[in-house]
Amino acid sequence: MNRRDWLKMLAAGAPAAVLYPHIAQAAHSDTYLIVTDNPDRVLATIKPKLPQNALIENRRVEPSLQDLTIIRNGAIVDPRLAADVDPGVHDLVAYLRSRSAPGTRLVTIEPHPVPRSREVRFEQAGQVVEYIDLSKSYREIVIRGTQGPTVFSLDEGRLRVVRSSCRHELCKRSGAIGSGRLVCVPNRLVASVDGSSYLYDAITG
Amino acid sequence: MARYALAAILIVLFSAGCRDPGSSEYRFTRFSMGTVVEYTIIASDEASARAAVRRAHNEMERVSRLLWEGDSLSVLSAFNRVEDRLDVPTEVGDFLKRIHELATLTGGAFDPTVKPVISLYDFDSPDPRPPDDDALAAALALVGIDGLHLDPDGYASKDRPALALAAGAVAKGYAVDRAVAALSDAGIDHAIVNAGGDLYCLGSRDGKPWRVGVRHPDDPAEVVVVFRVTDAAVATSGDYQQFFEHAGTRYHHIVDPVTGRPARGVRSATVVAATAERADALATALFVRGAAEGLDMIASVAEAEGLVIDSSGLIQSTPGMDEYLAGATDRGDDAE
Repeated sequence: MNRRDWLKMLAAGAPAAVLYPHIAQAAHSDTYLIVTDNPDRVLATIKPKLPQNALIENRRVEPSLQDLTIIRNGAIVDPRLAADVDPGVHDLVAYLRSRSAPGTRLVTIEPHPVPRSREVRFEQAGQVVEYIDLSKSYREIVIRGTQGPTVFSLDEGRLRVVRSSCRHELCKRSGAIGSGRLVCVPNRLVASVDGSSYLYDAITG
Repeated sequence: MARYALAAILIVLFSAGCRDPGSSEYRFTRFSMGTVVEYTIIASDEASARAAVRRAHNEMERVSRLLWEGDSLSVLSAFNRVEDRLDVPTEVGDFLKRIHELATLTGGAFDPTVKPVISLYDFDSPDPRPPDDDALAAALALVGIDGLHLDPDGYASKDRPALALAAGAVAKGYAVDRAVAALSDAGIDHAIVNAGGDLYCLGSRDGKPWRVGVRHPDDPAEVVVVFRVTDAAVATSGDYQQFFEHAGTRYHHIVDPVTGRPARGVRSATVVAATAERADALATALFVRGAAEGLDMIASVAEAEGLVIDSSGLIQSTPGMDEYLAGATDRGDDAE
């Protein structure tokens, strides 16, 4: 998605938004910051329109006025060029830079990782027991673990646990994933989409 | 100051990069201490990586036999059962000394003697319920790190016979630290050891800091924020890690040692620190204390930074956390 398409999409879905285009150092990177008075509505509006490889992340940033693009009444206004920037915009920048500003939420949308391989790898007790083509759909994939079978389903590139022989089925709570892993500790089972992320090397939490 | 309740959405698209020749990244999954352990190793070949992981995981299992409360034969479990004192190995005594110090440092926000209270919630039960006030009061009378003593002659002793330690999470952090040491001894300079979210980043990846994502409290497939980390540990306490719902209220495992009730106001608390053991204890304390008080507490602790996602979705952090956040998403990666 290039910047022009991005701006058009936002202008249609977020009329109160302020954009912060940041040209990142990497050659193919673009960074945008949207400030809105209704983050839930904006996210709900734009999320379906984002590329499939989009990931939402919260991050603190410190924008400056020269980095902002303003949408006012459906028109894009570049504050670096406009002569009549609303003083409120200056306040907005100061507010964003304030660390103690209540009610501030910074959400980053980043491309979802693209799997390095098109396979799901199933491991039981550290040994690979199965590879499944991620592009195919399966209503049931049964993998035997220490306590019994765990049933997965794979649909449109997303894997989830349907049922498990473990007591609490915590693995089911992870929902459907298109990258990363699903784990059933009692069954010593790990289902991984290999090379899960260009964006992070490990997850905490 | 602007009047908006503000939110900002940042979009980052990435380019491809390149890897140093002569080394490759290998990933292994193992299980220990009731969780999955992921080893990410940069090594010259798979055999070396696998051998190093074998050493590291043996070390982790050794620590588990000493300190994991899920193992009824562990030294820690034995201590929890005795009524007065137990002769413990030096390593266990040193561990207990450190968690005693961490409890004191956090003003009791991290307090492993809270185990009798946590036990009341019976998270493993098929039908868990919150304890009543009388049961809580009785259990709270057993809480207090001042009841734990480490005697010079190698005994760990307790003032209250029913005093018991919920040190499993911190022990997991210690196990991560020991596994990392074993990797270093095996000649590995760059690796991540991640035991269920308690992790240590050794060295770097292709000369750049490792990137650690913090899980979204409501969606395990989403990452809320990414840190850049080199030679440091990260741990997160979250209200989604162990919980049950009763009468429309979520009861999670991170109880306030003062009230005996689950700490409220925070969805997750993450700490970057010098060791995984320390990061885990401080993350618990940060969660219990809440954003304002907790972040002040973390900011006063040497070599530690914290980040909180509160119940409204607001993210706040200690000032020094910016060092770990800056440019975390600028990254070249392997081209396919």
